Amino acid sequence: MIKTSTLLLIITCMTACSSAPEITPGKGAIYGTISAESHKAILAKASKKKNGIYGSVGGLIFTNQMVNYPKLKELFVCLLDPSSKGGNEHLLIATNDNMSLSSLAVGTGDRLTIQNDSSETLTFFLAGKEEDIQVYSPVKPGERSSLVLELEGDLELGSDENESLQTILLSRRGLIGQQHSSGDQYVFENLHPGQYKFLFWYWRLGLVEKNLIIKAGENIELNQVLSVDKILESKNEP
Amino acid sequence: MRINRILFTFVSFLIVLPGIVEANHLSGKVEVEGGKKLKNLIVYLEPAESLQKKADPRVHKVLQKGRRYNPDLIVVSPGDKIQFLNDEDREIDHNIYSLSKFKNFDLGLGERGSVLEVEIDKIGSGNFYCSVHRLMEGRIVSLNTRYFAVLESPGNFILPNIPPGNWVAKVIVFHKRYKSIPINISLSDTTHKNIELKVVKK
Repeated sequence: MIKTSTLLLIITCMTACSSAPEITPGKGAIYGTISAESHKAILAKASKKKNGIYGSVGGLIFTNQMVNYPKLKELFVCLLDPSSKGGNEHLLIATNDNMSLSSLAVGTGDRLTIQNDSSETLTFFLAGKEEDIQVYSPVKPGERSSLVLELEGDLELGSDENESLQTILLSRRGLIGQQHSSGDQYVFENLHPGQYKFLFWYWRLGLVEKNLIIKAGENIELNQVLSVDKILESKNEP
Repeated sequence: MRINRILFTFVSFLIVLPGIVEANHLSGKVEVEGGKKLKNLIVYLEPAESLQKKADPRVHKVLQKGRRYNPDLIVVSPGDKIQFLNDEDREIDHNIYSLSKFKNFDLGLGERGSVLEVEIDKIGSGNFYCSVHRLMEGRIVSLNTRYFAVLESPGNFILPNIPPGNWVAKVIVFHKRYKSIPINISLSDTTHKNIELKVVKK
């Protein structure tokens, strides 16, 4: 029993220590937890009812037909750094059935490479509003094709030949993104003091935007839960 | 001779009749570059001058049985309402929401038998989802016209009972690689036009 308590204490301390990054002189950081959860009305019903999807402990029992928020793997935390010119590398893999990611946050100037693991030659494109389009050169099975992203906005990556191959892109100038699973810790370290915009994004829910001022020698903790009601509330903030 | 003349007049009338019946109807064909079989194309006529009076509001119903929206594409006009009926045959809850720039709404908990409603107030389009079920996804398209046709695939269409005037014929294409080329048309009291609308790659 003592051993278990001690172990729990050590784990708690380790978790607490790992959440806040070390302060670098002259720089700042932002860190926190990103997670997703069900709509508050569903959670409220789960706290009262105990049958069907509403579990005996007040939680939800997720079937494979449901959006399993606690297990989502494509939550993005993004920093918009006006000084960033892009240049990050992203790799997507296409099979006969789908893309390796259904969503991706990218910055203009990033290189986006597609590996064709399907059985046919594919011509990929990036499309945005109205006339916005970038087209990849056709890529044969087993080969790769890449381009430098020029378009900004809410984009769609697709292929001419296979409509099931789609990835939704969030593209912004100066965007530096991190992909996380629900409940993960994120951190952006060594940030120059100044004003930044942070985006929290899940493709089916949309964006939460936060403006923050980073000061030298300061860590800011910012935890974000993504849910329908919370995102709508954030959109309605003055 | 007289009988022949009567017969001729009668036959001529039969030949002309379809033209009279089809007056103000617009028919045509949507052709996609490369013969691509694009799904769910919306052909519509937009008034060339934005003077058309506001359409009378309508109510559109969407069913949800089997954890699917039926229909999953709803074409409306500003002022219309959309009612979501939870017609599941057992206790399944839904939550309908949209976080699109066009119209964001959250209709809360939709238990079996419930009817949740949203009013559309402007032109545009956006997706809606159920926050509970991952395959429940639909799209609202709001147009400033009632003259439209939804085509499952490229091909022929007929838009009946179009008022005389100047119109712009367009196609909404959901596949983002493609765009339509609008056509200006003028309809008088007795015209029946046959047009060809092109959908081309961007």
